[in-house]
Amino acid sequence: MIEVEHLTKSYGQARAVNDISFKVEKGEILGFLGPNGAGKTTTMRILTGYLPATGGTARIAGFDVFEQSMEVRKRIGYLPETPPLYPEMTVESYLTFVARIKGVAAQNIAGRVEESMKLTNLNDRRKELIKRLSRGYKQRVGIAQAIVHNPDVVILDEPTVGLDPNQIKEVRNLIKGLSGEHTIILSTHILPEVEMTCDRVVIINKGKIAAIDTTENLTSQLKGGERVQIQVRGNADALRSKLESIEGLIRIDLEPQEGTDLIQGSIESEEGKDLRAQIASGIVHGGLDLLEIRAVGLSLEDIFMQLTTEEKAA
Amino acid sequence: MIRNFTGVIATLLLFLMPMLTMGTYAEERKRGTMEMLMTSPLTELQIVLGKFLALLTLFAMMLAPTLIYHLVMSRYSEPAMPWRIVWTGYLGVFLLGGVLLALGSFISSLTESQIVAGVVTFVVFLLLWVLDMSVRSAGSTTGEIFKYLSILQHYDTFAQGVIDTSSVVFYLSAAALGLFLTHRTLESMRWRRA
Repeated sequence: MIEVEHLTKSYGQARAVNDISFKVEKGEILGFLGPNGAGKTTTMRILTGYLPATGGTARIAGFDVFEQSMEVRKRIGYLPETPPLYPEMTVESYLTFVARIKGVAAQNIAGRVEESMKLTNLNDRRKELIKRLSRGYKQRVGIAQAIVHNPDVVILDEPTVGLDPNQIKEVRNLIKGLSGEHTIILSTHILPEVEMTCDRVVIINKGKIAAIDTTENLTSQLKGGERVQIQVRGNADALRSKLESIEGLIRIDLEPQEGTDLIQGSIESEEGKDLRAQIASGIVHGGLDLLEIRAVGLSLEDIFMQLTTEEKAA
Repeated sequence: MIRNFTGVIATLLLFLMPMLTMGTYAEERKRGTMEMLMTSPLTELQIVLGKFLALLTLFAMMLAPTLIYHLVMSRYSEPAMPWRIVWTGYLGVFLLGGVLLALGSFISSLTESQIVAGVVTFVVFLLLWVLDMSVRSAGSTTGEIFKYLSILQHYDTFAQGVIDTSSVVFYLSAAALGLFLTHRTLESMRWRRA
């Protein structure tokens, strides 16, 4: 449904987007993940036809976003970072206006407006002026606006930013509900959001793709090894020498807690090796008190940190 | 008396029109709704004309109540009210308004701040008025040229009950120029947005 090939966008000397390529299949939810200023918004703006690319191509439903901009614009719904609202209009009149400029046939407008309000739970606020709505409701109007013409592709730029936890949950459910029928790209810098809503993730940093995969694959593949958290009472140096004698550990971080004889540790082992038993017996045999041992998987957050900091080192 | 009326209206336009036009594009840009318009299946021309027609409609609605004044006057006027002059006067007001609206919305399309747009538009209109005053008495050839270019000069003939084709053409082309420039700004926005 969406094909992006070698897309590049420069502002003068600076490259906001640098040679990125990816594909999105019909009905998928693709998460665009990256720190602020990574090029997420720029990429989305190119896809919507708001910005011209400096190089490369992007196609939506087979239409080039630049050459056949009109065809593309008919098929996309777009929610920019700040919802494009007219505060002095009511929810219903605003959505009717958007439906009209998006080219919805006159006889379908009322039905589409109704449908989009139903999906976003705006029915009880339809007669309200947009300026009187709360941030969460405004965001919903923004989403309703993006789907009112029943587009093939919905592009949402940071749809949950500035919302409270309850509203975030609502918006995420709403987005999930939209998938299947619509192909969705959403950008965010909040990691759990991607884990929860997206089928696939593109991690973008400094205008380049750092990783692209399904959410599960990315978590397991990049996990590398297993990580074990421990808490031990005793001498840190003794603990370190004990641990270093265990084969298969790739990283040992020990943090003695000040004022106590407690040590917090984080140990990573090679992929696929569960060394918890060895670690535990090593510590106990070394005459140290093992207070806690716990296996932890790497979260997307760790992967994200790894990828984006690796980029910097390279 | 009718000339007086149209003269007063022209002066009012100087103050009123910048207020009507200042937000046209500036406010859309600031709110981010311009991004929605530009990513909708609308051409730049549709946006420019749509906004211009909306401004004209609003202007016509503001002008309509002034008709009451003429209706009341016609009841008591002796000799009978010269309606022809009233209508040509209105045509002049409407054409002049159209030009000012087109110019004002062009200025509005250049900035994101409607205050800046409003002030700049007012200053530009003020210059047009000053220019007009300074060429009123001009006699030389250059003076004649400026006289032709002064938008208020053309207004006078309408107030006298004359529909001068050259004035109509002048106004229509001035408005078209304003709209054309606005169209160009919108187009260029597609290219060099940062």
